[in-house]
Amino acid sequence: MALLSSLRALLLGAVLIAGQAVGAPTEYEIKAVFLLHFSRFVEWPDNAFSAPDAPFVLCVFGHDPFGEALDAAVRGETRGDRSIVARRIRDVAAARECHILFVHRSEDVRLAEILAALDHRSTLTVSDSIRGARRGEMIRLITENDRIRLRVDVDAVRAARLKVSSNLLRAAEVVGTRGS
Amino acid sequence: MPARSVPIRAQLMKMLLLTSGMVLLFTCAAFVTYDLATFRQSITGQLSTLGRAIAANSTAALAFDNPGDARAVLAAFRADRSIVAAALYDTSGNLFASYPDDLMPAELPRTVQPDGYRFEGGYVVGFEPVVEGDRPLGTLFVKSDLSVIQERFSSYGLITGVVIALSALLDYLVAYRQQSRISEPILALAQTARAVSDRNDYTVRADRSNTREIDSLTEAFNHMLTQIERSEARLRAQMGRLSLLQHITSAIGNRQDLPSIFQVVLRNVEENLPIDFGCICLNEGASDALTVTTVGAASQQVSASLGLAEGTRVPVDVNGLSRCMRG
Repeated sequence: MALLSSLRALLLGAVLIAGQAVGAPTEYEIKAVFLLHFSRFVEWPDNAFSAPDAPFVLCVFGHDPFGEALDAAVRGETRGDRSIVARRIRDVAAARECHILFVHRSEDVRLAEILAALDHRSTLTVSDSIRGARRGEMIRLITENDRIRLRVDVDAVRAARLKVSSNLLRAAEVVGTRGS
Repeated sequence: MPARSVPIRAQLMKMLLLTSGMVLLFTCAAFVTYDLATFRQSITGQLSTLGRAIAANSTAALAFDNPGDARAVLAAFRADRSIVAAALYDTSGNLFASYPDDLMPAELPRTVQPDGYRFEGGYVVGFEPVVEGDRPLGTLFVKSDLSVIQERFSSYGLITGVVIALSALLDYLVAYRQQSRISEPILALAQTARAVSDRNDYTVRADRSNTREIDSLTEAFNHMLTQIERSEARLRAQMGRLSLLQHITSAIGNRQDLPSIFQVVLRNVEENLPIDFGCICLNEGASDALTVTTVGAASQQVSASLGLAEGTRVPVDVNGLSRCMRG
């Protein structure tokens, strides 16, 4: 019996390795590409950039679940004439320099503090928190049935003077009041 | 062997209807050909516009991996019932979403083909890139049947049929009216010719028409009738003289005396010529006078009033008779 279980475990392991081998993207590889895509489906006001040639900054706060995936996703990418750079930050004050700020679910406890520090700055906040319906972030990435869904809080987006493309809104679950 | 004789009316009608029919047919053919050529372009143009609109709305669905949203976007093709299939492929060329929901994947292209629209086996198919900014997110495939063209050509067939039928009717009426302007004077001329030949009546004349050539023909025909009429009259006069000569010859032959011969001559003249007075005078010897020898039976009364009773001498110099005497 123990032998059979061991065999089954071995087989399962082999299948998982095979799955990895064919290059199926991992959850955070997909999320890294999503973060990059947000840069194209959201409009930032001009004053969100310190200089005309200032880069578009994509930040990960605290724990970094992406590893190389995020750097690979943004490598060589541009947003208009601006290059896109990925930064890892641990300091709440540094979040002010970010255009997109991702907060991993392990940093949930600091989410309120981070949002307060941003104080309605034009920073698109994204989390993959699994707690609570609305915790103040603008976009939440929800994993369901091996797919990643989007939930957009339009009130939070509007407060930050950002404009989300209607295409993105249609592909997402929208919370908050829509329209003016 | 001579060809079968066909009435002029039928020939003219055939000619007019054939001409207008050919013109109408050629016009319709040219119009339909032109429309087919431009309509094929407009179909690909319309499909390309629709494709671009759907592709623009599919960006987020592809970017954020939401096949449900992609299907909802593709469902917009429902508004155009000529769209029989549509699909979205991701950048790797894998099928992402398709329309309609019950479409079998086998009915879709296995691989993404170059962008553009083309006619393929009774369908228009197109591949449209799905791009956000300058970043490709996938490809939209769309397939439309040609029911629009078929419907359009069914309508054309119906309209052309009705137009041809109405035109044929109108043509027939106009042709009937127009051909009568040519055929009727010719038929009238033929009728006149028949009347002349049937009754030997050369006094009838054909009426003029409004057609120059036929008028020339009518004039020539009438002129010919006039000539014949004159010849006929001359012939009759000649016949009269011949008859008179015959009577005289026969009177001489019957050894009748000179007064009797004169009477025969005068009677014939009075009967055959429109004269009021007829007499025979003799010029005896070298005298300068004529002697009235015989007065016609019907001219007796007039002879009394003229003072030209039998035996009266009429001087030759009087009344220019000397010219008659000289011949």
